[in-house]
Amino acid sequence: MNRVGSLSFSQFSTTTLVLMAVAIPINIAVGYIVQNVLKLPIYLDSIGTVIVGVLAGPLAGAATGILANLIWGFTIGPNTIAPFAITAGVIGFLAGVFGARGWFRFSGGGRTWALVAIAGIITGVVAAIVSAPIAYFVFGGTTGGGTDAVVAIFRSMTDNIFLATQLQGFASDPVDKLATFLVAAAILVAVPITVKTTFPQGEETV
Amino acid sequence: MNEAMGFFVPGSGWLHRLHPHPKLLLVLWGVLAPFLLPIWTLPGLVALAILAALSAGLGRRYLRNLAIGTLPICISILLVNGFFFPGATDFLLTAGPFNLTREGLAFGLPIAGRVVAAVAVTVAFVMSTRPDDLMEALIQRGTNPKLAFVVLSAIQTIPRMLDKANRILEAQQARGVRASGSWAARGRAILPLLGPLVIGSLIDVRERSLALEARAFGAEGIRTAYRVVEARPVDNTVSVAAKVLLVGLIVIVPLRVVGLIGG
Amino acid sequence: MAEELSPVDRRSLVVDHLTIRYYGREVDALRELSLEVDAGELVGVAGRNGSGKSTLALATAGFIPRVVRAKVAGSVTIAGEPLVDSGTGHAGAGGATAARRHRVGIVFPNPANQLSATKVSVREELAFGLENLGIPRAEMEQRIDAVLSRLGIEHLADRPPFALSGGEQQRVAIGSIVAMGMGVLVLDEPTAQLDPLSTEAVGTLLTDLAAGGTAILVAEHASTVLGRTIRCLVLDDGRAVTVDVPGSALGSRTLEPLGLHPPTVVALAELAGVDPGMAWDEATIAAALERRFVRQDGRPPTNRPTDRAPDRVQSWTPVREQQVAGVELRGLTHRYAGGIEALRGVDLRIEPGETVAIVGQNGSGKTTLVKHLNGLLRPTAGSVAIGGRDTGAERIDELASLVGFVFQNPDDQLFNRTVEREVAFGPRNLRLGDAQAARLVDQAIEAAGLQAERTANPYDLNVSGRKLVALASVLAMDPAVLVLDEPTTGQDGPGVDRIGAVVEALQQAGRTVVAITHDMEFAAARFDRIIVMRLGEIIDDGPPVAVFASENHDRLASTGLAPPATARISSRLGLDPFIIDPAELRSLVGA
Repeated sequence: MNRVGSLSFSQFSTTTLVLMAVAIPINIAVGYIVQNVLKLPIYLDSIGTVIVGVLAGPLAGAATGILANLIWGFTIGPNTIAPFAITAGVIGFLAGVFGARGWFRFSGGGRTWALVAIAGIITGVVAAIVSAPIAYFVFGGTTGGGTDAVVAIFRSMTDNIFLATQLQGFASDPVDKLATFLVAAAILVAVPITVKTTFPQGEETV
Repeated sequence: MNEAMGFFVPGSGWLHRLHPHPKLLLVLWGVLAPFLLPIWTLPGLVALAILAALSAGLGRRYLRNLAIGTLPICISILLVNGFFFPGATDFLLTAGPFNLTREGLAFGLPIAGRVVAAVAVTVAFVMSTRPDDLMEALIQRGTNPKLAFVVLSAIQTIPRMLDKANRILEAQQARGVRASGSWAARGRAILPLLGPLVIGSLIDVRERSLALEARAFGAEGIRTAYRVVEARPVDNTVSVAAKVLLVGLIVIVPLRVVGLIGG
Repeated sequence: MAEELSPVDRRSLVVDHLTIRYYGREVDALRELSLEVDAGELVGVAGRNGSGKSTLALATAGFIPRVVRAKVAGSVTIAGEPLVDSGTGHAGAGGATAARRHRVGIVFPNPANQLSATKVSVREELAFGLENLGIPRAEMEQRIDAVLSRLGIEHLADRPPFALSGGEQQRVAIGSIVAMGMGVLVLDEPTAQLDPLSTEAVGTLLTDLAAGGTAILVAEHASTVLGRTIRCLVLDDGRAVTVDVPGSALGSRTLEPLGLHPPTVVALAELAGVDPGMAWDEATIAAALERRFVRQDGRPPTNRPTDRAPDRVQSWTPVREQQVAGVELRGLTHRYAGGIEALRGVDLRIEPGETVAIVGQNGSGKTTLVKHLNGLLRPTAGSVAIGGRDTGAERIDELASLVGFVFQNPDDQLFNRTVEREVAFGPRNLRLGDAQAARLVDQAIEAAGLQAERTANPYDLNVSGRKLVALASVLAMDPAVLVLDEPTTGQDGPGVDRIGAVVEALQQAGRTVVAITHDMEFAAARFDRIIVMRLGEIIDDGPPVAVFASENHDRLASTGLAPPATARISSRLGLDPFIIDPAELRSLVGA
């Protein structure tokens, strides 16, 4: 028979759990649409995580980010993105915090978009800061993605590898996260209020 | 069935038959060891992982998955470090304004080696382990079934979500949305393509969670398991051995720091 | 006789003066509703969309007010134990607890949403509920085997649930609940998304389960399912209008004051003067009709021109400068990756302004065929021409100005904040001028009957409403050819009428309409021409009267299709000329 395991998951309602289970494939499908179909230079592949954070709170957002990263890495690959699960968790957590503070509240009018944009940039910067040591210690400063060219450029400008990694993160992450937060907000605007309020933190987005 | 299980390939080799729990312990060791042991052990570790995988019958597909998983990042590591290592003076090759340096390669190679060693282990793991067996084994050891639900449900929904994305692409193109052309045109396609995907999924969440509750999911009380993952005596032995190896690993770290073991 | 499964307690369901109002609404969703369902009874609930069927289903399964928040008065009791009781403060058990403690199970309309999505075989999927109930492992196998055989799905036992058809998934969903040993089974429009064969399978299953002792409450539109119930509740705006045998409850006396019309079979039964208990028995109906014919010269009467009640006046004014366009397919072949040849050298010519319904079983190639009309698929061999021009190599978004395609799932297209914005999206993409676009938006919204919902969020509407929004958003592009993929699935009576009226309006405006449907009555009533497909080929093509004529019934049956009820009865009566229009049949009886 079984004991009830980790406390954090017990608190999540069935609705939150299903939301998390759906957000992870959303990340992957969005990544596919943006990168493979539209061939745009951004990822938007943490949008599901962000939406969970905003609608269901920081802990749900963090759990989604971590699981999304691990699942993506180990079912579609490459496995090498797994160490960045921490970054993904941080993104979800921050989205939840901003959501809790009502930064995604649309009755606020134009001000909301500015808040969402700021939230996106802050999250992007924090994500870059958190990713840099991971990229440095595990991969010697590279990530295997297209932005390694950017690392190269920064490398040639500085003598410090760690700094170069940091700068690369700053160049790509805030832009992508800004776009992610804005698109997430634009989509949430069109979600009926009755649907949003079925989620724990949904009222904060009305 | 495959599309719901990621890398998993059905088989009957010893890795497939090994219980998920000792396998997980071994994977943990296999991922930490390259980073904690001296560099000269790296080739050995890589060889060990590959030999284990091949002996378990994972075959050419294993090698292909390994290559796909490690080549891009290794090339990145070697190129970026090789050509852009700060303060390097020993030039091996010159291509225009770019110089390949010995110091750069010397820095980059071990890093690449660690990545290959760790990934060699994880690929072998995911190819020989069914996600639902892994989850069931973890539940037996105290993991919350709700966590297992999220993981398994997410894995199984991935192909469905990709199909949905393609259907939405078709449906919106039929309304005149263009998915190619100028940056602006493609940017304008973001909301029409992502909107229905996300909103439709959020709407489904309600009905799906009602249906789960109708099946008593989340009800208080004991949960039993239909699919049983038995631990054989050899599994328990391997568990013990893996734990010993992990302890050994932890012991080595201070020894290296102090300098008793070099490399 | 069905074998005894898990302990099926002989529960019964009692609803007493139940009143439910959702938070934030001004109207009750259910008002003073009382109903009883005993063990072994199959009871139906009918009514238009929004009449309260789903609310009743959720309440009787314990989801209101605990999981779905609402103000509740009255009570729901199962086997004497209160499930919902505002009087004693028993505020609903919550879904999972209701399942566990009260043994009431519920099945929803969307098959795919009911999978646990964590199991890779049907067998394990059936075990999911048992795991959550804490049933001992040894007992699980026995229950699963019993359910597999009871439901006739042994052949699916090792298949992955996500690879099954909608009908198969729905049977697995029902099976999962049955395996849990539920005494009361509630179903909310279980056949809404299924084709006629699967609908029939579900109906048979419910009859069988009731015979085995389960108390079943089924909310439905499908008349073949409602016809199996021993009594049927009709809801209108949350009130109970009547509870009676389905032949009466769904008769014209009950439904017409509500603005609905009875199922064709019931209407014919009334015409024939048959006892309501036999309203679905076509043999009896045919015999009774025959006796009632106004005969002349001992021969069956010939058709008289019918006075058909005029449908609601609908018109479509062409706004864009659009030429009329026909469709021409020559030797059209399509082979999917994997080698399946879904279309085998099809030749087809549709004149501008024709309305065509394409019917055929799943896998007959009908969907593959229409997807060539707007560039979703390219021919492997052969050609496609729309309005005289070869479109085989054109892009989907380029063809959008010529061919409008309404997909089966509206949620694949909707993403705007309001219905108005959604409908305006298409014209915007076509870069029409503001004046033209505004006119088209207004026209499309009116055609779809959505004036009252103009500023509503499309996702706030139920599925039938959303389908109308999707239809309107394509109409607003004023295409020369309109393709409809299963337009009537999930629609209630008024919704089907609305779509039929749109088809007619478009035809009068010179537009070509091609629809895929498995609703034979809709096809026969609203389209000039029916095309029957099987295994990638067209096997019949002609006006409904010809396609559904007696001599064709066997051939249709071989493709898994059944002609509409009037055609079947005409066949029994040996009518010549053949009749498929209920109004014509009515005129023969001198009514």
